[in-house]
Amino acid sequence: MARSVSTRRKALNTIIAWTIGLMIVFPILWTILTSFKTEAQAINDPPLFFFFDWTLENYSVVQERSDYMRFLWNSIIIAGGSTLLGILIAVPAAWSMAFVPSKRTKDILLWMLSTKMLPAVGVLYPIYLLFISLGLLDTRVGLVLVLMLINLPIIVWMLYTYFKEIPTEILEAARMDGATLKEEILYVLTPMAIPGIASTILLNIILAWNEAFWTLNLTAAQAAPLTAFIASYSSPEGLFYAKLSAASTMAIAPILILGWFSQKQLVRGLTFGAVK
Amino acid sequence: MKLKSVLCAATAFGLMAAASAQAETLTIATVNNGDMIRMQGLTEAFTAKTGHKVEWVTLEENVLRQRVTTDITTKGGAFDIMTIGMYETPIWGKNGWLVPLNDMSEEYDVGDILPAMANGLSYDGTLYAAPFYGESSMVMYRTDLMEKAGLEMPKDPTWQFIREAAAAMDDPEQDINGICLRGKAGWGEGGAFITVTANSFGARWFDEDWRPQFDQPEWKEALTFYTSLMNDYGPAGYATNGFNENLSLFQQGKCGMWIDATVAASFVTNPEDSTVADHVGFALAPNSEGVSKRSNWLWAWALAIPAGTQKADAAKQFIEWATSKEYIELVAEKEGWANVPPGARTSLYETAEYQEVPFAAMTLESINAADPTNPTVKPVPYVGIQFVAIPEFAGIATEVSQEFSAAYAGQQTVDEALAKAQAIVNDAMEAAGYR
Amino acid sequence: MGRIVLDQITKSFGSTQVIPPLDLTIEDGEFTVFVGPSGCGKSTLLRLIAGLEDVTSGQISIDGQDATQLAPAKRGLAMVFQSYALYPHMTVRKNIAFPLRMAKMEQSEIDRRVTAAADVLNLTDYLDRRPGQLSGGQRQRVAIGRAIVREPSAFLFDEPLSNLDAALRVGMRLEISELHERLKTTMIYVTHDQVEAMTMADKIVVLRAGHIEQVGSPLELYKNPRNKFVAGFIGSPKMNFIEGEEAKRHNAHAIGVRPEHIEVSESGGDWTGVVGVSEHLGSDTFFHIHDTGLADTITVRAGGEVGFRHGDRVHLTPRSDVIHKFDAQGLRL
Repeated sequence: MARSVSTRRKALNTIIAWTIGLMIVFPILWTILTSFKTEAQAINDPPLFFFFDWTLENYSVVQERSDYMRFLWNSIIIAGGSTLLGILIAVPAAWSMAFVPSKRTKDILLWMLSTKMLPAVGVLYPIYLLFISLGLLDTRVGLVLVLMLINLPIIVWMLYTYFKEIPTEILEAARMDGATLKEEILYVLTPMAIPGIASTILLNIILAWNEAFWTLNLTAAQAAPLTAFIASYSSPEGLFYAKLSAASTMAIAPILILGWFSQKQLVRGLTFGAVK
Repeated sequence: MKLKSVLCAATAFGLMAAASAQAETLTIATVNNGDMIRMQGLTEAFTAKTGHKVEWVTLEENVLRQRVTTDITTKGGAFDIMTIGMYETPIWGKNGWLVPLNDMSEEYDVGDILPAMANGLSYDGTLYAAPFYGESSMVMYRTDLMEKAGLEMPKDPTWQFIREAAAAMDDPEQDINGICLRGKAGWGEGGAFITVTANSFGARWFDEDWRPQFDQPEWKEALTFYTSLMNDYGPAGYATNGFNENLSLFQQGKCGMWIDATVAASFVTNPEDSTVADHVGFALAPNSEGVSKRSNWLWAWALAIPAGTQKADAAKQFIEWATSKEYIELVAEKEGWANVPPGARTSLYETAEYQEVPFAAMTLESINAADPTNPTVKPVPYVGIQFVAIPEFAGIATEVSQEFSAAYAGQQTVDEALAKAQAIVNDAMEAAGYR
Repeated sequence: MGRIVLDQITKSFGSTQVIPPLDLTIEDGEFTVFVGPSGCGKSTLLRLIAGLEDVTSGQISIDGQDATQLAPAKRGLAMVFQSYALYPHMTVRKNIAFPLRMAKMEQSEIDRRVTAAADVLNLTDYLDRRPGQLSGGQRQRVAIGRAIVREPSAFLFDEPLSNLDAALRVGMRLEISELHERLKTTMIYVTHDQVEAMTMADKIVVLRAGHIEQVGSPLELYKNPRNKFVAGFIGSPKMNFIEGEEAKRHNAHAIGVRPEHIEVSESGGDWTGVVGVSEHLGSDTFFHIHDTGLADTITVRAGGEVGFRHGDRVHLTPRSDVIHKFDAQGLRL
């Protein structure tokens, strides 16, 4: 018997779903709206929703004050670079954990995750000193490396989960068919795990894009990405909410667009294996 | 003859090479406030003058503080110039982390720096940071509401008068709070405010032997007065209000009075942002009747050179330029006198054009009334008015201000908050080896 | 070509030994079936031969060469997996061509072999489809195709039919047998189904707990099982075992009689009992006889026309020339 749902029940569920959805996007929506207000309208009480004098002034002020393209370019290189490097390292790692597990594999996985449990600030000084002696301070290379390391546990975990869903027999078949380890990973495992790898890449680009501790603490002028761009508009003494909102909107726009276009892929990847 | 010209050419060439080799790119860490942003727009003048280029790293105040602290303690050398405050300067100067600024040029005129500022930015008589702009705190009040209430604000009000005025102006029906004050936790937010308030009631953080004084009657009086004033006439939820929240309330006409940084004066009198721009008056920060110290603080954002930099000479050139009289004139010329960085130089307040700026006189008077080396009625072993210039202060004052905010929010009594504060500070000072 | 010799090989996982020292020779061109209940080590044994697992000790030689340390692909063997293990992202053509591509074979030769294999396996029309678009039987044939294009010295089958429905299974059984007839290549086939073993094998290897219980042709095993285990495992329905007085009468600890070697009649016989469940197959009828005083149930195979009903009292007579006798250890006397 099909489960029957009454119309009233459906309407209620729809309302609940929309409410939760709106609550989730509201901060972003509010930021975008505020970016089109004047500073005075931005702090108006009661808050103004749509009926205010829409202005692009904040954007032109931000554009004039900061070199957006430089921050953007740094963000792209850092987020993209760290993710790609992470994937290159994580695919073989996840392969070995998923298909030739040792007695310690579970422990290693947990240990990797445990490194994420330490607050980042706890290792700020050691990493900062390391960066100084390696000459990596305020370089994109340095940030690519550090964000790759920060996100590596997550990448490995995600890929491990996806790889676990792939039947071992298929890889054994490849081995019987004469594929070397490299060929096995390249021609068989990777293509089969594409949805999972794609969503891993996407998620990690988003994580790296929004990472605001290391990107702020390890950069100065040269390698600073969009998080630093946003931070430069935040001020405890002076009301610059509209400009801050404009800067934030500009900073999240690229990743929002990327997310929008790949959401299908992302959802598929994140629910991969949920129904098998 | 020939030889001479060749030599001349060689020398000229050599000089040129030396000059171009010295054209550096300076990385400057700074905060996001109007004066700093204005300076970023004007750095071309500096580049044109010296050939040095400038890269700005603008960060929110607390992020900046953490960021530059990391860099300077590790000698990272990421920055050639840092924007730091009056709290850090003496501590860092003492630790040898900053390049002393004791050899500024003649025309820079170090003596022109306001003495209160120079004192606050020195350690052991050596200047370690040059003030870019300085501020104190003062009362900003609504002249129209004051008139309506039939009161007149004296130039030097007492807390008792402030309470009376707040009661008179408070009008819940019109959504007007008698007074708006900082209550937000954080050593630089509510912590700073309650510390200066306590000063004006005769309290102090430590006695001469670094024993915390929260168990003394002055602290109790100050905190009781503040909470009762705010509970009666302050805005709802004041325990989480900081500078920005109060600025927003005042600009929208929801506060009868606001006691805060002098820099706020230019915001609340700016008709573009403020609905009450034409009705703002200023007065000295209050004291409790009979107490010799007022509740005005002293702060400066100053430029300093970290000891790790390779470009100290160029950095010094920049600081000389940015904190000079010449720079003030440049801003005045391009943006008007109301927009020059205030509170750093005596000569600014002697300029006729600047004296016309409505809040100029009160700002100067407030700054001059502040004495960081002698901040309290009873003697103290520390420097600083709204802070105590020891490295541990930021941490413990933040904890203490959290206890106070909890009291403002009604989660605990004033006595409980003070008892906890006493315990927290006592433990911290013992652990830090002060006793 | 494909003579495989296992010499004293063992396999342990951690401290548990799953294959105790074991010797086995598989002759070139022979169709050998490893059969046994699940967990008997037959699949492990196959994977050891394939090289997918490393032996703990002992030696494997293929074509007279030591292959113990060789990588799977270097052993010249092809394997067909239970789940087919096709590459889901590749077309049938690419699936079949994959081993050849890995061997860096020329494209023209790859095409020729793939076409030939597809032809033999009736896959020509499906070459450009993906495995997901094929039926179970077709997938199985693709898996076989992928194995035969390599022209291996031996094929390894790991329960290849267990995912198919009964009708298809019979068909594929025949196809594999025909393939063997045509290629004359060594095949090792793992199954838990004794019917598959009996019908396909030249040589059956019965395994239990990693031990080889008996090796021989299907009929040899059927006629002369070396012990009770093999006797019970080979043949369907299962052999009836009788202990006690009746066994003693034959000077044995236990006797075994196959259902097809018992006569059932209304009157007169060695044993009597009551008919329980009857299974009518049309050609044959299996009667499950209770209350014989010999064993819980005695299964009897009779002609399709024999029609006893539930509850009927019947007489049973075993054929005396095919009574198997076992000692207390279960060994054949």
